[in-house]
Amino acid sequence: MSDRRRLNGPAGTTSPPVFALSKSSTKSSQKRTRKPNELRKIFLQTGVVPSATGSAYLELESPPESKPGLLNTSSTLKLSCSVHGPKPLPRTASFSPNLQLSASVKFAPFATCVRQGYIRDSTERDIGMHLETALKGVVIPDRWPKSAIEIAVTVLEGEDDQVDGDRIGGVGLFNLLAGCINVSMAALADARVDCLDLLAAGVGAVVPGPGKPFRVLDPASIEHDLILASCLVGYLPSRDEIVEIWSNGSVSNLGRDEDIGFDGLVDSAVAAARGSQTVIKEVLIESLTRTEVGAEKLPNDGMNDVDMNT
Amino acid sequence: MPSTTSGLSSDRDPSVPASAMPLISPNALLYAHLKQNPPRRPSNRAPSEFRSIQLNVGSLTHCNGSSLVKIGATTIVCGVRAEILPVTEIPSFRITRSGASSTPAAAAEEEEEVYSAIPLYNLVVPNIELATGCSPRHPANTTPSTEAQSISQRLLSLLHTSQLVRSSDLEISYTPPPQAEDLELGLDTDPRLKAYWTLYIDMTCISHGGSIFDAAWLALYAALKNTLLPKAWWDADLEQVLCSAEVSDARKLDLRGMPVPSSFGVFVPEKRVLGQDGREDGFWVLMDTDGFEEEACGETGSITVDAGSSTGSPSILRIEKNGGSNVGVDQMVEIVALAERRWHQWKAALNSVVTAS
Repeated sequence: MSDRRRLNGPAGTTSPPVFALSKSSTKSSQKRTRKPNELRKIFLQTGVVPSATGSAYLELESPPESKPGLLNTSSTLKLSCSVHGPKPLPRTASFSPNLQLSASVKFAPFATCVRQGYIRDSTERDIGMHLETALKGVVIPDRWPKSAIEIAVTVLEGEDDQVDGDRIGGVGLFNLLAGCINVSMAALADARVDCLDLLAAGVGAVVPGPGKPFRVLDPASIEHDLILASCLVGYLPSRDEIVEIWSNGSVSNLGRDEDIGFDGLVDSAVAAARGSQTVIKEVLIESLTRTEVGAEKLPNDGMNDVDMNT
Repeated sequence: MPSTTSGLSSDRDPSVPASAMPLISPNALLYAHLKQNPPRRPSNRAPSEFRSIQLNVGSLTHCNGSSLVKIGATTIVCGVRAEILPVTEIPSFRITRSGASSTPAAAAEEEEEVYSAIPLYNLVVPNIELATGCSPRHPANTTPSTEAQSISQRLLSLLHTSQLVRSSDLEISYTPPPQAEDLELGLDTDPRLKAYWTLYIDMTCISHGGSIFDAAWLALYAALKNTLLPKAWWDADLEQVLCSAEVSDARKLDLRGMPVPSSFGVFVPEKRVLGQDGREDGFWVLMDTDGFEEEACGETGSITVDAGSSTGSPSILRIEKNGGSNVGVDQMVEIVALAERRWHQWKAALNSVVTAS
């Protein structure tokens, strides 16, 4: 598929390098050093795009570097999100009493193990749809009639250590969607859009243990060889509502005890979401106090005052 | 005009906050700032002052080289990914000798000729993505705008004209083992070109705050400086190129020079802003324009210099200016001097990062 609006490179096909087997090319699977109910650290910052109404950047804690190597592909999630709007709908659009929310997710070409083109593929559209439905559950749409809001998430680095297997429905994809929801919520709050609650997303999973399977929160795909079942929820903590749920793997017949049944799986995802929400909340309060302090210092929005009478 | 008679300060006219002035009357606002003595820009910079550069390299995992450049409100992430282009994939490939010549004198002679491989086979592929919602004028989910296409094209042309990447760095050749019968028959065992590295340079604009071309080029340069190409060899049995995963075997690119672009805008106040007397206040050359100034300036340009040459004086690699006729030769000379200052600023930023990592 040639894209005439971009530079496409050589006419022939290029292939990613094939590595010869050597000592450092053998992949070592890192073991999970966190407790089962411990989340990875989240770095979140709002206001990264000054010209947007709201924006946020999210990065997950990277696993401890084992050894430097060209094949060391353990990557962490890096997401950037910008919110534009609410802005009036174009005149040609039909009347809408509600805010028209649209969300999209795009992978940067360097986000995945194998270079990916610029054309939006079905995975991106699917995550975008999931994100959109989740956010529609939290925004109060009738506050802005005849308006539209656009949320764009750019994936600077995805969390996949397989070549492309995880992009279809693995735990890497779940973590990505959870990150997208969290970063979008932070950006929406940064844009001062009225919401029902601070939405947060989390991922829980059931992994095989030494004796019997057990539950973990926030599973990283590199840390587990096998994941029996995983689940993502978008959760409104103060209302105890779930706006998005997506689970994978056969969970009902995993064991007789209820602990690792479907309910247990969802509970673990909700617990992860609650954990993420505390981070988002803290970051938003921090940014709010920062801007208030800044506003006191610079009453004219950073502009130095000049007399404009000519 | 209401915008010129009303004061900018909010205590005199609370109906117009200062933050709305760039939207209401950008030209008048910019003029009011610049006619101060000494002239200051709305961002509190002098007209010839550049924004500071923040640089970070090597933060992306899946790339051979990567960088993040932040200049004011402009943020660009760049990732370089190297892929292999076997010569069998090149239609009507003309077999040439490997660029690694035996004598340095011959190598210098060949420099010009050898570079032709990169533009001929499109071995460096820069692309910039602006459709990330990086500013209200660049919504996500759209095809590349004219601006994005032209910046990609300018980056490519500057890569080619400055000959930044050496062809010899991108060659993967194979020297057949000498065999007794070959020597008897007089067959040569010169290295044969088997494949080329192709560098895909992808830039994603996170935040658009003006002077995108400068930031994109600097991000591209830093990412190329950070690039590690694995050691690659032709495996005659497998008939394909294999690479070594060892970092110790990998090598950096040897870039030619360090071109640094400096964008500028020329601000000419509108007639109606000048008031009744209509006196001409001339114009101002604004270096490193931000997003707001870019919209108010009709005449824009960019000068790319490399001050690192051995002769001492900066060499000009690229000049571009369009949209007006205010800047003459004298001003261009001044701008080149400013561009040289930018070059030293970038060198300091790059050195601090390269020595730290």
